[in-house]
Amino acid sequence: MPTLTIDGQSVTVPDGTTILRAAQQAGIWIPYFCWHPKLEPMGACRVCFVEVEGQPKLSISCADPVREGMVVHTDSPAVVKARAGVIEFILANHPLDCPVCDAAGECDLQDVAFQYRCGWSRYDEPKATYPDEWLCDYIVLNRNRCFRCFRCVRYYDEIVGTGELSAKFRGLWTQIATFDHEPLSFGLCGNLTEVCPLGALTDGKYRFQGRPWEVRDFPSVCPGCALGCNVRVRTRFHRAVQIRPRENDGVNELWLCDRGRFGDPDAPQCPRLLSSLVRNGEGAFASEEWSPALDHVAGILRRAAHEHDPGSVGFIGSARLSNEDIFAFLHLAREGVRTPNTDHCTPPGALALQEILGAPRGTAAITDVGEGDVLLIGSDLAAEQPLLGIRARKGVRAGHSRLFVVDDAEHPLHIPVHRSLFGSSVASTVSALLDAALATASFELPGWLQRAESALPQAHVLPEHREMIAELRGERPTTILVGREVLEAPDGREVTAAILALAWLLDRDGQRVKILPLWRDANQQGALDLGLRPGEGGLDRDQMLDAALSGDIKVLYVVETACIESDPRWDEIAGKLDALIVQGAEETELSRRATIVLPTRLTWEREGTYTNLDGRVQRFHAALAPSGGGRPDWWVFAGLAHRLGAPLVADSAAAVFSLLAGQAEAYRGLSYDALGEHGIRPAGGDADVV
Amino acid sequence: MPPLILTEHIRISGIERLEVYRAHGGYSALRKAVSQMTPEQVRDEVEASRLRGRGGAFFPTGRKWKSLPDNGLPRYIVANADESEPGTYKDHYLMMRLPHLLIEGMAIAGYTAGAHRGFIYLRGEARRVQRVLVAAIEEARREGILGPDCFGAGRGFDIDLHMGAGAYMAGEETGMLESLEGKRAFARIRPQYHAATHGLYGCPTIVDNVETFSNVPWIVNHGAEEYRKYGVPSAPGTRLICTSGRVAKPGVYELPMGVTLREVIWEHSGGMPEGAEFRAAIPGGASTHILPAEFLDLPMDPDSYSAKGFLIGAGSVTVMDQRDCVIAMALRLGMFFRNESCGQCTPCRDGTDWLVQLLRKFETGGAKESDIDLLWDLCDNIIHKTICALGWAATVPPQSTIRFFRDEYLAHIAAGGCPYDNHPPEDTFGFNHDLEFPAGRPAYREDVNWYTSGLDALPVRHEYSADADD
Repeated sequence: MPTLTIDGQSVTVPDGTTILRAAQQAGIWIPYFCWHPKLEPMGACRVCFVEVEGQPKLSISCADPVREGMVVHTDSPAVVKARAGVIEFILANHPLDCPVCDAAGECDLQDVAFQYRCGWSRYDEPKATYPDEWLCDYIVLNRNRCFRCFRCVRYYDEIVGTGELSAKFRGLWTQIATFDHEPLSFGLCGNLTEVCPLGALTDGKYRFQGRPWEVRDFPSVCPGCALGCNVRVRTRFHRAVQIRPRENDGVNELWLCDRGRFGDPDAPQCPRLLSSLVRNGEGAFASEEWSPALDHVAGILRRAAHEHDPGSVGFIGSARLSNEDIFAFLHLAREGVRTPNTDHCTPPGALALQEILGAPRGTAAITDVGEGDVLLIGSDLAAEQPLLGIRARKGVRAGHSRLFVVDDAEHPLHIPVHRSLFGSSVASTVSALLDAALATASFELPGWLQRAESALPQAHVLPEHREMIAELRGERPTTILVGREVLEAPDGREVTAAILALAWLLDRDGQRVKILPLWRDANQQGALDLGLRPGEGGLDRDQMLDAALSGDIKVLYVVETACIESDPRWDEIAGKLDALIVQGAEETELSRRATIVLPTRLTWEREGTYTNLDGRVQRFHAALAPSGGGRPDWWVFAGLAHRLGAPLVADSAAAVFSLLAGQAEAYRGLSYDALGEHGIRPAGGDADVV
Repeated sequence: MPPLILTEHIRISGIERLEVYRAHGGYSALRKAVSQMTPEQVRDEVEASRLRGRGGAFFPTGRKWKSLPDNGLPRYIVANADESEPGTYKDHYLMMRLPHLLIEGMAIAGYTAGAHRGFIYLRGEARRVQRVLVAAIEEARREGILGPDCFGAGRGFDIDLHMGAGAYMAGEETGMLESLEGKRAFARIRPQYHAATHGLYGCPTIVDNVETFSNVPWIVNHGAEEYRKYGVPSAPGTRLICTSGRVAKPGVYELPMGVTLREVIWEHSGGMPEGAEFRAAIPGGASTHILPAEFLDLPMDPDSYSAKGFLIGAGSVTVMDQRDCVIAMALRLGMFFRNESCGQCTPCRDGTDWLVQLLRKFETGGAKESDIDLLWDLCDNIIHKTICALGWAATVPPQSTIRFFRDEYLAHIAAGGCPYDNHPPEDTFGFNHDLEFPAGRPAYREDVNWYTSGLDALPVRHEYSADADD
């Protein structure tokens, strides 16, 4: 642990630390352009010079390691002259684009140039120019502004793994380009706007939409998938114009995937629901104010519960609702209507986790991915969880991780794979692996494991299965990523149980081999933790739909219909039900068939908490004032519960969360204050991993 | 007569063939090293000889060979045959005539380092040299001089010839290693990536110039003490000096270390042509100072030159007379460095073009006296601020001409352009705005004679032929 002196300040750092990192630890700022905290140092921009006593030449602080007793000056006259000289060279060919450049106001070059030269250079000759190009639909490259720090090239080589960006030609003609004008693939290209320190690579969707001093940023969480990347929603005059990542080392580090940043290009565009809709006598929809609409719904629920039986009402929620919404939803169903028929589109794999581990959650943290070996089962990682792919890639590149893949088809991963098994189905490969592991198990097997083993069809064990098991044994920590192809499949429960059995056979203490379920929906974990499942004697989602067909269920209350809309039974069910109540923000197939439609708020108008796939509870704030007639989901459920005689004493999302924290076992003791801006993993044991 | 360590047999017809080479004592050094000496003894001999690298840096070769770390990684021997320094053609000549001498030197180095693979990185334009080298390597393999067991059972050495693709940076030590690995010829940052410790594929690598390897067989055969008798004590031996420009007999000459410019020009290269008065000479290729007459008697060895602050370079002397404009020379060399910059670091990439713009103003009009100080200051901002020495080399022509020929600059300002009767060098790679690639010639063309293109300002003969006539 060498100790060195930087500008008179003494600082001790681990062996191998660079001078720049040591200075940052000491709180001393050294300017840099080509260095990036997540990339290997390159030493190309030549701005981070420092003077080291005893060395004739100035040292590059981003790449040179510290030595015991080093004395470093970051502000001596030689250093200042060198930095000013380099910046002058950069400005020599840099266009005065600030008035039309999106990065103006948040540009590293502006900041450093003004610090060292007041943005002025002695260059008086014509500047070099290059053609601009749209690298894909979302990224614009203004080549004139590029000062060849090569961060984007290294980002694609090291972080993304595809190497899509490269440098063409050499010297002053060096230009960043893709091969033969191929567009960048959709997936992680949006991070280029974070990576580029200038306005050379900018967000094509945000282009010319706002200036940094006109916009407001609101911290939030992306609702696109269960990873729960921290984002900031940038709004200009109450319109959301851009989504950018916030740093969270425990979740998304500095990155954001393109689906979260730009939206899913394949998602259907549905018109917004603007007010409550109630079918009138002729069967057409008529607009309604909230109070009468809620009265109407409460009336339907009360009649169904008292005149028939509470079991004739079914509640189908969603894993996209926030924890507060789900808590209020369950309160309405259990206390208001008193029906045990509550469920959402529960992934069958969750049931195995509940049964075998005792709680419907995995055992790994996101930060475990890439720390040791990674076993990926049934997931197109690059498409579904590219940020976990980044972590795995980092570990494999560093040499301490190996990637094992089990799937039924090969997906492009852009990570060197150590061993892969592509069988006719994931279930058959998992079954074979389990048998291979059992072959060397000489101890007493617990009952659940024997059941898990016999639940899957017998598979032929090949040498490659035995080899994979042999390699997975050992000392290295291993994270098993269970993808949605396993979790959501009809045999998901059996296959997940078999995977848990396999993990147990490899590591009975559960300290070395950990499971991370790759849920699909933003708050899947929250829905499971809060128990959005059938109560005592209740029907699950499939059973509710069957019961609706058979007439045992008369009223269905469905929230966020996306996951069940395509079910073919709806054609018949809609006609048979007494009432179909649909709640959501957008008009869907199902909402058009409903008896009553209740509008809720759009994504960035909502606030609450989500729990991500490794159990981190995170707050998301509203970025926009509500427009249209939508209300928060929890507010609707609370209003109905009040009318049914079981009021929920809460007038804000924070209040609902306080109630939740008092009652739900999984989140006991949490509060909005405790969650802060980076969330907490209560199941992780540690209070916070930020 | 100076001793001929390298070129003793160079006139013999067919010396590029293995049987002729062997008949004149070729490969006796390799046999002696492998059968009678240990690798340590060979290394000690090379170190004792005080042989210094002939690529221009003159780093002590023995010290380099001894600095390979013992970390269990495979070792590599790489010969830098890229030779792209303007004015330099001695390695081409050496390889064309004595390919086996290079192979022998590399094999001895491979023996000392315990390496199994060697690479010759040859510039892609040198097609004739490629043919000769390929034939020589094939012959050596056929005769078992190279192969899986050439040093004994299970201890083999083989050499691969790798062609470059047209970049000066691929002659820079680490740029060459990057190119060998299949990547862009970007220089690596030092001290983390010195070739000896972290070279090809991160393994310990000996990178030496063709001429350096070619010296090794003689040293092994005759001994370090004998070698030290020639040259100067701090840099023994001989060097190949190739002359060009205003000399009567341009060509490659093997001369002892410490010879002076005056001797090179008047004693060996036939003096200057009728009516030509000495103006300036570049003693070691484009990266070295443009020197006026006052340094004609300075001994050309690395320490005498570095005592004056000059780099001695790789042994190419270009002579200018009273018709030649030093600023035009500085401009043309500045264009070369700007064109060849790899583009990785800011001062070289952006600075070299600025230097060219300023020098062009002196040549074509528009320069002011303050531009001289600006030029000097920009050079100071580049020197020692870059990843490799190309940036520094680009500052040498402007700074040396300002230092020794300042009145020329003032005369150019007064005349509003170049007062000499020759056209300023054409900037064939100048910037044409809004074009994806500079106007003029594309990066590489089959039909262009790359040896002479761009050097039209100076009438220079580079002719040498495989049939060794004078």
